[in-house]
Amino acid sequence: MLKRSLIEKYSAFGQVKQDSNGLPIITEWEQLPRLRRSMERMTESQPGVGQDYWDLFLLKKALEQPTNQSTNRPTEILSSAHIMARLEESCLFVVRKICQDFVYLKISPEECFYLARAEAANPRKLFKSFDFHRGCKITTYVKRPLRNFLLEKVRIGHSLIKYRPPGLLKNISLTHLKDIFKTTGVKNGFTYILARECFVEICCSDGVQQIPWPLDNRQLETIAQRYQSRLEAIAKSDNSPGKEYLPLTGKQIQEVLTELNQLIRDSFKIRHISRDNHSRDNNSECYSQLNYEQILPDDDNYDEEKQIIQRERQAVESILSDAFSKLSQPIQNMMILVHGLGFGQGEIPTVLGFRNQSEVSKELKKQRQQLLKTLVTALPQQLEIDEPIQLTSEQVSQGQKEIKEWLKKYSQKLYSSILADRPLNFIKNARQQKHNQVKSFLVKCLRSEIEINMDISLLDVTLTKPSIKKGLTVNELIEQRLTDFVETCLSENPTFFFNKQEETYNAHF
Amino acid sequence: MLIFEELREEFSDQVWLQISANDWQTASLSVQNASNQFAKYNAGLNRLVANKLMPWFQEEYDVEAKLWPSAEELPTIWEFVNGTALMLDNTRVAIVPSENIDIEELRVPQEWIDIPDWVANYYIAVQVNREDNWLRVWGYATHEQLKTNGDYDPFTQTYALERADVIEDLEVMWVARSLCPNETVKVHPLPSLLSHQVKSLLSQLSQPFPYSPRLEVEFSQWAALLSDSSTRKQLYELRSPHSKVAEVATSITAAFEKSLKKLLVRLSDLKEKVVTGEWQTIDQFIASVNQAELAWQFRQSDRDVISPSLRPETIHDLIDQIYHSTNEHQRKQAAERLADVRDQKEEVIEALVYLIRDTDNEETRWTAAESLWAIDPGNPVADIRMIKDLGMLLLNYPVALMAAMLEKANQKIAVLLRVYPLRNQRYLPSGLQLNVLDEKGNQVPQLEAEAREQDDYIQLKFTGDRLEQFSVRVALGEAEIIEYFVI
Repeated sequence: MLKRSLIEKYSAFGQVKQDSNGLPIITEWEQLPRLRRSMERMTESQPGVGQDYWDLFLLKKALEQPTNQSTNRPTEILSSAHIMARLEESCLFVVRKICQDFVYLKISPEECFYLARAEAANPRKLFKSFDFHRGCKITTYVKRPLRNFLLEKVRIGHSLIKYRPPGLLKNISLTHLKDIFKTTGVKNGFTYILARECFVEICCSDGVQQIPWPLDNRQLETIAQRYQSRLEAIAKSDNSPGKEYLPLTGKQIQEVLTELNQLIRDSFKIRHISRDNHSRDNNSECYSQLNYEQILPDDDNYDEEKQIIQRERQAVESILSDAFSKLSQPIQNMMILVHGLGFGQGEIPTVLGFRNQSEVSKELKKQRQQLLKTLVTALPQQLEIDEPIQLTSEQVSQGQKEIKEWLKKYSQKLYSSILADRPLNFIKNARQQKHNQVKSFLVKCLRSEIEINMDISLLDVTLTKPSIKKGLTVNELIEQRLTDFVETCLSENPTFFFNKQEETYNAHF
Repeated sequence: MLIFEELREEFSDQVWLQISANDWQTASLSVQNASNQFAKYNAGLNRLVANKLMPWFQEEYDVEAKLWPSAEELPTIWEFVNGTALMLDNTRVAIVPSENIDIEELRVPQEWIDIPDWVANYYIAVQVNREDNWLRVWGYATHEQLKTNGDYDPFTQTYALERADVIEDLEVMWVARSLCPNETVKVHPLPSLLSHQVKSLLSQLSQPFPYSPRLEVEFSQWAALLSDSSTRKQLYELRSPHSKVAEVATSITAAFEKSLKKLLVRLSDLKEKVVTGEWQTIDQFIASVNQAELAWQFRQSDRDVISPSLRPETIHDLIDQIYHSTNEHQRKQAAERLADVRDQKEEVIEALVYLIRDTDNEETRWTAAESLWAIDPGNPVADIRMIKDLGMLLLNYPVALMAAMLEKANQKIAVLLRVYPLRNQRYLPSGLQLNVLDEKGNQVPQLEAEAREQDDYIQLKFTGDRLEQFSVRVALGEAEIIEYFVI
C-alpha cells in the first residue's frame, strides 16, 4: 500500500502486519497531526515544489548541526520526524527484501521493520555520508545503508547470546557506549566508561572465558584501586571530567558493570519507535515550543545549486559513458552483470568463461580502478576548473561510489527500458494479472535480452554444480538475480511498465 | 543466522577472510615472549591479522607486504600498543584489529598518529570474530582524516573515526596511493629524553603491570621512549619473562637440591632505594648483622685503629697527585691512601670524585670509589652498592656477594663484583670461584676469579652498557649460586 499525497508522505506512519508469505506489509497509514499541520504550512509557503525538493530540504534541516540548541533543536527534531515518515516505505522495501533473502533470520518481519524504523529515526547517522550534490534520491540512497545497518544489527543480535557479561563489556566500542548514554539519557557515562576500562585492564588480559561473573571480591578491589588511580591521574590534567567523580568501592564497581552490561544488551534489542512513541518521547516539549517559521524554506540558492549539480552530473556521466564504451565487450558484460544485475562474482566464470572467481575479482578491480582514475582526473577538466586540485581519499571514494552508482543505473536503464517495451503486448489489462505472473514473464524477457545482447547463455552452464550460498545451484542463483532486478525495477517505479497503456499498476510493495 | 558466505556477499566492498584453528595456533605460538597476558593477547591478535592479510595483499594486488619496522621488532611494539604496520612498496599502512562486536568506530592508538616516525599513510580497520572464525577489513582512513576529523579521547589516548567517516572500499586506497599520495599531516616533534629520564621511565614502566603501561606516564615522554627502537627494546626486554627465568642451582648437599628462582636485580634500583628482600645497602647490611661476624674487610673501625692519620701536607700532596700526575699507578696509590683521612674531607672527596670520572683505568677508578665509600659512604657518585648474604649455601662456608656500579663519562657503566667471607671467617675457602656469565648463561672470557689460600676476598671488574643483563656465579666444588642482574 503506497502513500498517496505529498502531505501524507511526510506525516504518515504505517501499520505493519505479516502477509501470507511471511513478508511485512503496511495495512493502513495513519497521519500524525503535528506532522500533517507542519507539512501543510510548508507546502502552502512553497507551492509547486515536489517531493525531491522537500526530501533534500528536510534532510538538510535534520542534519544541521545545532549552533544554539534552544532554537535549532526543535527544527532538527521536526525535520527528522518528517524524514522518518518519508522513509517508511523504504524501510518496508528493505525489510521485505531481507526477509526474502534470508529465510532463517530468527526475527519476525514486524520486528525487523521496527529495527529499520529505529534506524530511520536517526537521519544524522543514516545519512552521514549522503552527498546532496550527487542528485541521488534519499529513498534510493537509504536502502543500502539501511540494509547494512539492519543486517549488522541482526548479526550482532545473533551473537549476543554467545557473550557472557565479561565478553560483552570488553568487546563493545566506545562510540557505541557513548551512543547508548545519549539515547538512554544516562548522565554519568564517564563512570561507566572508566569502570569498564579498568575492568578490561585488570580482568581481560587473558581472555574473558575464565572470568567469573559476578566478579570476585579480589578482582573488584583491584579494579576499584585502579579506578581511583586513573581518577587521580585524570584529575591532574586540566579540564578533565575526572575531577567531578568520586572513587567507587568494589561493590559499586560490580553494580556499575552490571548496569552497563544491561544497557549494552538493551541497545541491541528492538526499539519500537512508532509514531506514538515519537510524539510521546521527550521531544514533545520541543514540538510545543516550535516556531514553524523556523523550518520554512529560506531564500537559498536552490536553482543555482541545482544547475551546478546538474552540470556535475552531466560531466560525470559523459566521462563514464565514454570510458565504459571503450572497454571490451566481455568486460562491459561482466560489469553490467555484477554491478547492474547484482550477479555474484562466483556466478560470472561459468557465464562469461573466466577461469575462476579470483580472475573475475582481479579483472573487476583493475577495470574499476581504471575507470576511477579516469573519472577523478578528467572531471576537473570537464568542469573547466583550471586550478590544480589536491585530491583526497574521501574524494576518490566519492568517485568510486559515483562509478558503482553509474554502472548500476546504466545497466538498469538498459534492461529496464527493454523490459518496458516487451510487455506491451502481453499486459493488456495489468489489474487482472497476478503479480507473480507478471514478474515471471519479465524475468524471462530479461534473461532473453541479456543472452542476445551479450551473446552468452545463462542456461548452458554447469547446472548441477551446487553453490555454496543457500544450497542453490549457480543457475538458481542467476534466476534469483534476475528476479531481484525485475522486482527492483517494479518497486522503484511501479508505473514504469504501464505508462504507455495508461495503466496504473499497484505493485503492492 | 547469517553465515560467512552471506556476510561476504552482503558486504562485498569489505574483505572477508576465514580463520582456521591452525591460524590461531600459529599466531599464538609466535608471541610467547610477551611479558604478560595482555601483551600476549595483543601480539597474538596482531600476528594473526598480519599473517592473514600479508598473503592477501600479495594475491589480490601483486604487492609484497613487509612488516614494519621488521618482523623482529614488531613484538616490541605489540607489547604495548595495538596495531601492525606494513609496507606496501612505499606506502605504510597501519592495521588496527579489534574484537569489538560492532564496527561503529575505527579507534587508533595515539602512538600510530602522533609519533612522527610511526605515522602511516593509511589506517586499516579490521574486525576479528573469534566465535565465528572470520575477520573482515571493513574500511580505512587516512592519517589526515584521523588527525583532523578524528575524535581524540585523552582518557584512552586514541583517535576515533565513526563508521560513516571511514572509507569502506579498500580498492579506493590503491587508486588514492597514486592520485593523492600525501594524506598525512605534520605532527609535533617529540622531546629528547635525557639519560636520567630514560632510566627513570624504564624503571617505572618495567614494573609488572597486568596491562600496557602506555597510560602510566605523560604521552610525550612515553612516545619519545617508544619511538626510539633501542629504548623500546630495552623496556621490552626488561618486561620479558625470559629475563626473569630461574636457573637451577644444584649441589651435592640437600640444601642445594632445590631449584632457586632468582629475580633479576637492577643495580640502578639501589639508587632509588627500591631494592628489597635479600639484597641490602652496605649500611643496612652492617646494621643487620653482629659486628663480630663481619670480616676484617668490612670493619671500618679496625681501619681507623690501624691506619695512622695523615698530615695536612701529605693530604695536599696526594690531592695534587690525583689532579696532576700522569702516572696512573701514583694516582691510584694516592687515592688508596686518602681513604684514611679524617680532616680536609671536602677537598679529598672532591678529588676522589674527579678521579673516578677522569681515569681510564678501572683499578684506579675502583680504588678511588672504595676510598670514597670509606670517608663519605652516601656520596651519590659511588652510591650504587649492595650486598647479599649468600648464607651457608656453599658447603657451609658463609660468604657475601657485593655488587657496585659507577657511571663513566662515555655512558658506560663500571661494575664491581666482590665476594667476602662472613661470620668470623677471615679468609675465603680456597677454590671458591666467581664468574660472570652473559645473558645466555655463557661464561664471559676473562671474567673469572678463584680464591687462593688466605684470600680475604676475590673480585671482578668490568664495563657494561646500560640495561645489559648478566649473571654472577659463585661456586665451590659442585655447589653454586647464580644471581641475575641488569645494569
